Amino acid sequence: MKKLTVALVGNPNSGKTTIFNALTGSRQKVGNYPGVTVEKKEGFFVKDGRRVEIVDLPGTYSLSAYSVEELVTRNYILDNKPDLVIDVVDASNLERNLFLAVQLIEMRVPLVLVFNMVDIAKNRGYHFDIEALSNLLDSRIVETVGSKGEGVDELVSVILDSENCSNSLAKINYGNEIEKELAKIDSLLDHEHELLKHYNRRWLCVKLLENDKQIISEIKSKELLEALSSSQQRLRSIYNDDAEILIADRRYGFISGACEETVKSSVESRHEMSDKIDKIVTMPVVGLLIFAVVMFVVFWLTFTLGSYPMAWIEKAIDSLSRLIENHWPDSVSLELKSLIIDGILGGVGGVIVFLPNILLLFLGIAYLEDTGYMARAAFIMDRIMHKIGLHGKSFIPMLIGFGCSVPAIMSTRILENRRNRLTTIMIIPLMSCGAKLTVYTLFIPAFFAVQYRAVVMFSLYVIGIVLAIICARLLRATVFKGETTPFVMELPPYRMPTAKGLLIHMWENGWQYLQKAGTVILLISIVLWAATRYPRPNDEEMSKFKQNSAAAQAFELERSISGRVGRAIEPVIKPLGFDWKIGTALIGSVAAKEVFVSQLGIVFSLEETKGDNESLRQTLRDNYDKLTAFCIMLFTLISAPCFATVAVTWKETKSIKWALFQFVGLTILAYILTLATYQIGSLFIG
Amino acid sequence: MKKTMTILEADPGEEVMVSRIEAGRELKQRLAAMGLLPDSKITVVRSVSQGQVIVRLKDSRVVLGRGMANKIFVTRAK
Repeated sequence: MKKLTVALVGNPNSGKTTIFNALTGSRQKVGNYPGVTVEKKEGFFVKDGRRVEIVDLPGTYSLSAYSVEELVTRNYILDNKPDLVIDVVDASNLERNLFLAVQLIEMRVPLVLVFNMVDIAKNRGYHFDIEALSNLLDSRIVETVGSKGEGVDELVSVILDSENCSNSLAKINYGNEIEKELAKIDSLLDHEHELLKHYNRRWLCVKLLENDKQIISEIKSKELLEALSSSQQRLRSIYNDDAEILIADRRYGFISGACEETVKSSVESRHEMSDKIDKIVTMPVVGLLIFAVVMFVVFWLTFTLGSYPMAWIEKAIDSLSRLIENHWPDSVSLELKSLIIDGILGGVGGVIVFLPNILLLFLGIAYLEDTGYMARAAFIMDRIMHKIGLHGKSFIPMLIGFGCSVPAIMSTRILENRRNRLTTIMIIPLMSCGAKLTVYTLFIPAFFAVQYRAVVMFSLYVIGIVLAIICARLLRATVFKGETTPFVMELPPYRMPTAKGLLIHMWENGWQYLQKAGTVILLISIVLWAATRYPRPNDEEMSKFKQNSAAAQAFELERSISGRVGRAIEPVIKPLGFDWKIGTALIGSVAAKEVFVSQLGIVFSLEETKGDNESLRQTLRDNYDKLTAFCIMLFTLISAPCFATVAVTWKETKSIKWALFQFVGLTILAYILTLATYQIGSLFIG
Repeated sequence: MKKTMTILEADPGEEVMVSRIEAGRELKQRLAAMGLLPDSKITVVRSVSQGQVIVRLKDSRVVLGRGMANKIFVTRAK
């Protein structure tokens, strides 16, 4: 089959993703560009015996060498030489969007301009003379309304006809002085054979004058470099500005010239709707209140609504394991049965149980992003978040962290800046998640009188938040040092999201979770299953527990690797007020914080009493005091995140180093703080 | 002679002309790509305490964060 490769470029918020979805449907996959953390989205469709592969390049305003996105986009086009480049242009914001188009024209690549959202543009009173504009830009123009699928058929036929699409020859005149300098550069280019083989000559001259870091680094001739800096100097002395700014200015001049002749505007005020909404949602107090309500809905959707499918999944796994249990033939090894039921099924359950949360959360995030509200939320929260060195958008993952760290860490994808994103990921486990709550609800009623319970609970949440703030500031001042990128952000116009776009976004994130983190979680849960089961005591040792299965279980756990490790670390955790039983339960709680409760039940050889922890609470009261109880909760709050979190951190940061840094760092922090609390507390209580 | 001021001093709803931008090369080029260049006209939509400004620039709205708004000098259009 004949293959065509098409690159999709465009400004952020130009509706590029909508066009991509309209062209490829669900035939998409997400990967990464080598060496950088920018996502690579690819899709395809088959038509008229041809397979058209579409690469959705990162959204950019320009093609300079300043941001990773710009470099990725530019280098993809230059290195892979796609058969066609489609530039998705927001027709309702034409001049700004054509700035990128002009740079593509100068690259002399086979280009089609998609004027997207022409319906909005027409509502705003714009009338385009497409033919005249197409002539001026010497490029084909297709009008579309991506959200309604209008014009997509025409775009498909243009793509299939791309052999007949000649490169635009439109020329931007930069004015006498700049053209003079461009001519000087041009005259020195003859020896740069490598560069000329790769790039268009005129484009090369412009990029060099623009002081493009990447291109300049490829130059060998010293003479050329000297000529460049004197050209830039000369222009600065004439115009009192850098060459790249002058060039950008001329480009915009070219665009507004072209638009003057071809775009008519009939309505005067075109911004009422978005402006009116913005007037309200960006107000200092009212805006915060609206944001709080929106966040409440997202949180509710993710965790309250998500708890129903979670319960179904747990039930399904439960009945499946019971089914296996009941039909297990006596002749087949019991070890294999335990591996399948407790190891594999338990692990699979542990993986997919997060899926409802992740899907619902990303549905909410996609909705906020596609409507345009996310940018406003970032604006409102930036005032507060900036104080701890984070971006306004960091607030959302941190809030989700109170439900569960796994979806929270995934949702840091909304942060563009890597340092911000890493810092946020590192502190998310300090939020008291739902699983930690089960530990609190076991201990607090066991040790504290009714009137103090709320205070203790609240103090744990506050300690987590305060530590998160301290850690964020500390990390931003040391490991993730660096200026916060100056905050320039476009506020996209409010739009109605499409169901297709929302569903694709939701599914994409869920699938990535299963593929990446899911496999790691499954693997580790099998390892942990083995650690609490092996080595097994022999039959002789077990025979004395004939009558008492709870004691037998406790003995098995004590003899297992996790029991032995729990005992081995006793001297280390003793200064925290912990004994080996707590140590063993802590090892188990690495699987998931709520496992701490069930493991404690086992080490104290209590018969399982469904839904009621009173006997366990009584036992705990007999064995420990208030201070120890508080220390256990404090340690649970801060220490080593569960391994699902470790797996997600690893996969999201694409480096096991950060996952280990988080795991070890938080454990050390937990140790120090718990040690101090216990030792100082003992002085007063003891 | 028109008075030059930072964009923070402009009134909400006021259209102003950018006279100069005192920022590093990288930031200036980023702003230029978004259409914020000397001599371009912008309208202040909202100006919040601590130096955040929302401006309308061509057909888009852009937030300029703190530390940036006071680097952008403008003159009143009228």
